[in-house]
Amino acid sequence: MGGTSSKLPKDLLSEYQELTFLTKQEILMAHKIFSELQDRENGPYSSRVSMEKVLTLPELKSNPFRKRICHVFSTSDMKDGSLSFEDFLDLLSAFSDSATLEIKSHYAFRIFDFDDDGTLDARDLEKLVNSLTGETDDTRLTAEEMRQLISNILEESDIDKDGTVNLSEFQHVISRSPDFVRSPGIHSPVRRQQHSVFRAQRQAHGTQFRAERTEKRRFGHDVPS
Amino acid sequence: VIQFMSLLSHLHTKSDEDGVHDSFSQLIQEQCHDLHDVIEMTPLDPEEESRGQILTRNRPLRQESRPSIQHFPRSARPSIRGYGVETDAAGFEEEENKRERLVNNLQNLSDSDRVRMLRAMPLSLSEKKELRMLVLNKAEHSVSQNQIPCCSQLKYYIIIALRHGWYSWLSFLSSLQLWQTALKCVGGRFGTGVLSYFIFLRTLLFFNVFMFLVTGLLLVVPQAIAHPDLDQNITVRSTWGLEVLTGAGYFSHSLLYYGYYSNKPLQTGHSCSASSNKTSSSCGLSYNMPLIYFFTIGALYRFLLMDFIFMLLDTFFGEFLWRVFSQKALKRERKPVFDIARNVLELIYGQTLAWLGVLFSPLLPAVQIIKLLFLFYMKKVSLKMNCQASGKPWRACQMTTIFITLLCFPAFLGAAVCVTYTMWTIKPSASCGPFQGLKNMFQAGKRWFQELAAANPDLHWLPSAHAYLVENPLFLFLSAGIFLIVIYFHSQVVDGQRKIIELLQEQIENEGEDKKFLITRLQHIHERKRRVTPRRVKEASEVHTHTLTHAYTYTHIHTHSHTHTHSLIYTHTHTHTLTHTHTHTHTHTHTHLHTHIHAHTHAHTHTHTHTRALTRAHTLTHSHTHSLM
Repeated sequence: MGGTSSKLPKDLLSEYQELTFLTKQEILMAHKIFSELQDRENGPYSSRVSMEKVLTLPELKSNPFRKRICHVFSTSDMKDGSLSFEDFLDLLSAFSDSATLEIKSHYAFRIFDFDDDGTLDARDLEKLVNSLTGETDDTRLTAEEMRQLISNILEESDIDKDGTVNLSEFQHVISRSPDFVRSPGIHSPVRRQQHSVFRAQRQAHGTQFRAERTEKRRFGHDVPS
Repeated sequence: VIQFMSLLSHLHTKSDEDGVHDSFSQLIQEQCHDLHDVIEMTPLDPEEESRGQILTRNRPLRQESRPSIQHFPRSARPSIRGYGVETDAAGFEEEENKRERLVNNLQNLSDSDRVRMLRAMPLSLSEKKELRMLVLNKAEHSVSQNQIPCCSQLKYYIIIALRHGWYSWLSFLSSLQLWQTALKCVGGRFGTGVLSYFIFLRTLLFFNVFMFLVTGLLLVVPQAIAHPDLDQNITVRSTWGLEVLTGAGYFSHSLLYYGYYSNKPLQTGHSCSASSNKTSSSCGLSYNMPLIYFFTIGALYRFLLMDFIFMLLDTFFGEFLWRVFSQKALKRERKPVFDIARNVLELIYGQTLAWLGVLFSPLLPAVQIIKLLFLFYMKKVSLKMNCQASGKPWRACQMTTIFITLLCFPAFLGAAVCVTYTMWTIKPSASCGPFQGLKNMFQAGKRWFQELAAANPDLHWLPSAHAYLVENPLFLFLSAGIFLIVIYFHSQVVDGQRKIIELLQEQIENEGEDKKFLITRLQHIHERKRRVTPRRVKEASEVHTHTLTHAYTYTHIHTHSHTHTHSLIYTHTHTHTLTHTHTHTHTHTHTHLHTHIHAHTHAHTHTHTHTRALTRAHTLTHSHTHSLM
């Protein structure tokens, strides 16, 4: 099936440049990749690409949050996680290097909110840690460790003590984490405790996770996990 | 502290951005049912310089807290609050009004501000497009009403064209980056420390390319194209392999070394190029038989080559064999770590050699370029095979500054001093090179001036001016003095900025402590409230009422601060106690540096006076003061 190599019109291109954090080359590259994904869809030219096709991209294939990412960025009425080209651009823009901290933390919160209720409760956090620690049994945390970790996280992040982390609490916590913020942070014991929580999370999954990060040949964008 | 901080931020958020934030946040707030969101409506700090604030010029930490986001109902994206969105007619109408206000506020901003605001909104792209279209349509309407005269229209077009050109130039520059993919891979796998080494290597490569272009175009190419005949009384050896290593033999009479370049006028007969051979004391080379022997057959080319060979051996032994050894013999789990410091020092050493040698061997930058290209790929391969990421964090930006500083101060300065000394004092050789028969290299410039004067009688003042200006030591003293004054001025500026940075860091630390204090207080309040009120049931309504009381306390704090800041302007009319409290907060935050207990008492009195002023929040402030006590 021959590819409909349609070109992106110039005014659309400049509009996308203004509204997203991507450069012109990145938008054109995204258009090329998206057209390739569309071509592989069987059926007439459709403006949406199904989630399965999107998940074949190497950047997303080994990301533990790939399904959540598709669901969060999809604007489809059928809630099937299919992405239009603009959804795809939104995805790339949110994960690009020049995206602001608010955008990243906002989308990270929605990705981590597995049950879509607007808060991260204990079940969401448990699923989050399990996604990070990996599939096999020897890298997962035991129930006791999980309970301890979640109570630590909630102690650090939950300001109003309702047992869940809402968006502003999440953003507050993220703004102190060294991985998200670029400028030097506040030296306070609370931040150090936060470090230890995050470090415990990272150490829990060990080398297996590092090996799974594929080379970002096409974009060079790190999709955070 | 909340009041003081919000007061400060409100003082300098008088820009139109505030209007956008307000209308945007209002729009979002209208669609939220959960009253939790009210606490999140803290005032926002703009990113650009704030007016009325003394120390914000170099504000390192940006406090930006956006309100929680709800989407327009037309989007099918899952919303944050799963409570659903109002779709009845009345709610829709209201939302349209809020949207209008948002569009109006967006319109009032300048272009770049608008772009920045639109980008930072976490909405879907289709909604952003709609917003942008609305804003632009409005702008077009207002513009088409005025009759633009033709000259300003032309200016408008020129500005648009220039901006397009500038953006395309920027994107071209960013796409031009060498090895961008490879650097991303290395950075992703091994961390930013190792990445800083490779970026440093690339920077050195660009330095050498620049130097090579300068010396090459001005010096090598004319000489290569039209070379005068020399007496060929030196036999050329034919063994190729040895020559590459030692740099002797064939190379000694090639473009690589100074001996090739001569002072004689070119056979083409162009007088201008003939004079250009004799001038340019900066790119010519002095030539002294023993010296040239030392430099050409001897040290610097060989040094460079040896450096390269040693780097090869080092990579091989240090990284490859060490990994094999540590895994087989020592039975360690992990591969060795890439030693950034040692590798950077080796790079700097090689670059110093190149700089020292460029005086006598103009093509040395080319050799250095080849060496750096080789080195990049070699190190990359060795890294992938042998090393693993470092366990310790490495602060990459500061390290890059340190590398460049190390490069500049001992290396470049030393090389420059050596070269200048050589050019000044060493007597050039009489037999070859462009400075034959001169006392030192600078004489070439003097001779050029003399010849110019001889050729053109109008310029008779030139050699005397040259004698007064360049040769007179007073001129040199004066220029050195001016240079030193400029350096002193810059060092004072740096000093002042360092002091400001210290002050700001202190301020940040204090604000952090205050935040910590406030958060623990809030947590205690919540703990107490939860213990008092009945246990949480899974009923949504129950949760709702519970949080209602909560939110009420929060609204209290919020409106408290809000009215406080607003009423700063019309406080005088309201109550005198309010102005009182304003000064209270001032001293409050100053003394909070000392002790927290002090702050307690201050806050206590503060709310106390406030109960006198505000009648509405009477009962609530009571509980407020209670908790603070």
